[in-house]
Parts: sequence; C-alpha cells; structure tokens
Amino acid sequence: MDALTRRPVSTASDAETADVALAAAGDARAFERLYRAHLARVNSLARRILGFDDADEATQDVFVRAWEKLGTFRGEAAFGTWLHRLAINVLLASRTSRSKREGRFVGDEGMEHRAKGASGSPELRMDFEGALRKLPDGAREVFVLHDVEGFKHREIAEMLGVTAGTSKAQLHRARMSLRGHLAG
Amino acid sequence: MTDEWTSQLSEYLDGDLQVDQAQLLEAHLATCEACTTTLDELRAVQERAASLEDSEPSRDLWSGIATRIRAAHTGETPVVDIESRRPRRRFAFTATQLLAAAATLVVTAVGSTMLATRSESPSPGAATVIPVGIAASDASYDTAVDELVHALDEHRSQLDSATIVVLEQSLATIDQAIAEAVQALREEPNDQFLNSHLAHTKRQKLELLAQAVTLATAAS
Ligand SMILES: [Zn+2]
Repeated sequence: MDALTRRPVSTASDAETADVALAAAGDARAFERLYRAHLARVNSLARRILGFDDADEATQDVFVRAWEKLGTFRGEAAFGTWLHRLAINVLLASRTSRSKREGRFVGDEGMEHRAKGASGSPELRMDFEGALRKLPDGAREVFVLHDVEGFKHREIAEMLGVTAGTSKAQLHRARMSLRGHLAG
Repeated sequence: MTDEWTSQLSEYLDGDLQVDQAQLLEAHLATCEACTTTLDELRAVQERAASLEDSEPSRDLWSGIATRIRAAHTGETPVVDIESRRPRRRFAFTATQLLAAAATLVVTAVGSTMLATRSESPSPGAATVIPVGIAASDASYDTAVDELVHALDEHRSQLDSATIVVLEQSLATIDQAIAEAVQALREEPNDQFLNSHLAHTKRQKLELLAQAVTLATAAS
C-alpha cells in the first residue's frame, strides 16, 4: 500500500485555498471553516494517539498551533497534508509531556496482559478501536502512524525517536494483538 | 499458534523482507497452516486500520479555540496582541479587525439612511429630549481627528496595502454616515436617536483612526 494514498489527500477546492489565504491574513471566520472541514480528521487522530481523555484538548492545541503557523504554510503541499503533519507533531509532543507529567512509562510493558483478554468471551469483546486504545503507547503509536496514517517505518522512527527495527517490531505486536478484535 | 516464522509475517506483508528471506518464508507458508492463517489475519487487521472512519468530537471545541486565537469575530473589543504574532502577519491580522469595524459601520450607515428618509412625523419623545450639543463638542473632536489623520499619514507606509484599502473604505463609510446623520439632524435637531447615533458614529471614527495609528506606529 502506497503511503501517499493513506495520507489525507487534500480536498483542496478553490474555496479552501481562499480560506487558507484569508485565515493566514487573520480571518478567524475563514479559519473556522477550515477547522470544521478538518475537525473529524484531527480529532480522530488525537483520539487514536492520545485516547479520549486528552483528545479534545489536544485537538484544540493543534488548531491553535495551526493558526499561529499558517504564515509558514507555503502551499507546496495540500493544506490538509500540512495540517495533518502539524497535528502529529503536536500530538506526539503532547504525549511526551503528558507521560512525563503523569510519570507514565512510554513503553510496551504489559502489552499481552492489557490487550489480550478480549478474544475470549463475546461479552468481554472490545471493538477494534477499543482494542486499539488498550494497546501500550509504543505499539499503538506505531500502529496508528503506519497502518492508519500510512507513514513508513523510517519516518515513524524519526518521529518517535526509536529505530526502524523497533518500529517494525511494535507494528507486528500491535497487529498480532488486534487480530481478535476485527469483528467490532 | 506461533513459530519462529511468525515474527516475520508483518514484514512480509509490508514487502519489507529481503527477496531471499521472502522466498524462505513462502516455502514455509506452503507447509504451515498456522502461519498462513496468521498472515490472513494480519492482512485483515491492516485493511481494517486503513478503513477506520473518522468522527467529530461530541462537544464543541471551537469556542475554546476562538478564545485562544483571540479572534475578535464577536465584534467585541478588538484585540491586537502584537507580541504574540510574528511581524509579517501583524498588519494583515488587523485588516480583519478593520473589516469588522467597517461591517458595523455599514449597518450604522444604513440605519442612518433609513432615518433620514422616514416619516415626517416627529418622534413622540422629541420634545423632552435634551439635544446633544454637536456644535459644542465639534472643535475638540475635529482637533482629535486631525491629529490622528496626521499621525496616520506619517506612519502610513507601515500598513500593508490591504489594510489601507479596508481603512479607507471604512472611513468613507463612516464619513458618509456622519454626513447623513448631520443632514437628518437639520430636519429633526432634537431627535434623541439621531443625536446619539451621530455621537456614536463620530466616536467610531475616532476609535478606528486611533486603532490604525496604534497599529502603524507599533510597526515602526
Ligand atoms: Zn509457521
């Protein structure tokens, strides 16, 4: 699967191009239209990377940062692609500070423990996104970036500060864990 | 069920294995039902991930964003947070505020026109209204406007062309509104609404000029 086909290909209409220009010039209403158009994409990404609790606040952070950085958007990529990449940077930075704040270990300890349980009895079965959220941070992040968002291992390795080999291993472990949750 | 080949299945699926490794794995797959099943499941997970639906949050997030970006779209006191914005966007940002001011003024001007052409009958409360002394405040007002216009001319080059266009359109609208209010007041000098309308419009002109001067001088 070509990674590019998974990136949020721009729906770059003339209207969006105009709104980007207006927003870059400080037009908050134009920026709100951009926000509406890309909200589901950004919020879903935030939910998958950070979980429900932090997703909404992080989504706001993403759009505030986008507003501040619009002046650096040169238009060589589609706005949606630019926003998406910016969102990932903000979300990953937020994840890092969050885990520091909470003293959490960003690793894959307890993975088997946490993500398994489900494949057994039907009433305990989690849906796919639920199981995804239960994955340990490292495995979940790699899985979301690779299989949901379409990045390559070397890109993910750079984003997460791990080796490409680790990225591959985490992806495999995440996929193995998620096999039992395809029904939901 | 896993064996020593299982760990290579994801890489195989992604086409990341070396050719010789892939060939060895394929030979194993031909004989191992468990690995073949696992490979199918991993492929299904991958396909599922690629088809996840996005959804919007359950609560409104825009108001919090709007507050934080200090968008003055509610028409309240314009905020010019110069320090927080990069210089190259500073003046473009103000164009929006001036546009917002202009939009307010268009409404004002329309109201004025409607007043000027309305029925001849005097308003019921006209006799009890204390006229707002336009003439009394004119001198200081005109001086203030003159000073601001002068200051603005000096720093005009600090504003970008889009802002100047908006500013000039706004001032033209405001001047027209003032002229119409003055004209209407000649016919109904004691009309409270007309008087307060004129005072309000003149104050808006002052505020608009003051704002433009602040922005222009902040840039120099
Ligand atoms: Zn096997």
